[in-house]
Amino acid sequence: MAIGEFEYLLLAVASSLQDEAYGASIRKRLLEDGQARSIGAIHTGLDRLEAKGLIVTQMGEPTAERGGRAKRMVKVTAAGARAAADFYKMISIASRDVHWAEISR
Amino acid sequence: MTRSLEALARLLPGEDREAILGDICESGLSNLNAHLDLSALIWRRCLPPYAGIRDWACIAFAAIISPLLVGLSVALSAQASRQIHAGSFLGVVELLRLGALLWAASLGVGIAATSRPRNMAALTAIAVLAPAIACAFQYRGPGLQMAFLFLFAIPTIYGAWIGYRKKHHQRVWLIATLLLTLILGPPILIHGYTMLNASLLLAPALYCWSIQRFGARHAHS
Repeated sequence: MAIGEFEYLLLAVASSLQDEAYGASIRKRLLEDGQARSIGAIHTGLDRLEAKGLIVTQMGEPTAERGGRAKRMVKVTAAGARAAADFYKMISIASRDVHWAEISR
Repeated sequence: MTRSLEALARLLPGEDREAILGDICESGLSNLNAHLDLSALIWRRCLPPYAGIRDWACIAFAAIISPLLVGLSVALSAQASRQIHAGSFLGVVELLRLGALLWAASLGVGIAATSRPRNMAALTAIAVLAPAIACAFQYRGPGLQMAFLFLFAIPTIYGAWIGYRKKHHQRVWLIATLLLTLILGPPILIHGYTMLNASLLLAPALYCWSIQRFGARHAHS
């Protein structure tokens, strides 16, 4: 299944955060990577990925730092991992001989 | 977490509300940013059913035609009243009445063909009834005269019903509408009817366009 850049970002971050992937933690990681996104945008992206069957979400435990509210935990499915791998491969192949590949390293 | 933010979040389903408010709390967003984020999310969630150009075209169609139908309802009622008092009946007026019924029902069928069922039904109903309600408030009169303002609503609702139920005989309807327009066009333009009512002659054209453009997929699919 084809995905876009933002969907790839969400899949990559959710995958790297493993059991700690939820809205606020994804936003924090994106912010650290220089990709500031609003909470609304992240939840909209997660909705889209869930509708495509690329992630599954479930409500987690409430915590005090969240005002006693539960987290929406995110888990990347096998189809999600495949879609992310395809996207990564496509970008890598397309960027093989471009001059900005050196600059960004 | 302010009360206004919690009130805004009530527009979201229960579990989503819990998770999103928790994320906002954990992220330590400012009050303004939290409101903006949440509003944007609600807007994105609510937008899809209202994003179709077809639905807005349908509402515009209803908003253009319904004031004309209100005018025609009142004009025909007044004409009928005069005739009853004078004891005379003209064929043209009877035909006009038939034409008004058909055009009003055509508006309903056009709405059914153009818009998706259920989506925006309330907004379309408001667009159809608003001119009549506005007139009722503006020109307060005896109950019976007020009822004349809403005469067109009955065939419009009927038209929408048969359109949604796909019981609409497109070809027969089309021929009848065009035939009545051809017969009634000249008398409407010549015999002292207002330009507002004369412009109702556009109704069949709009109806034909909407049926041709959208009807194949909706009214007859």
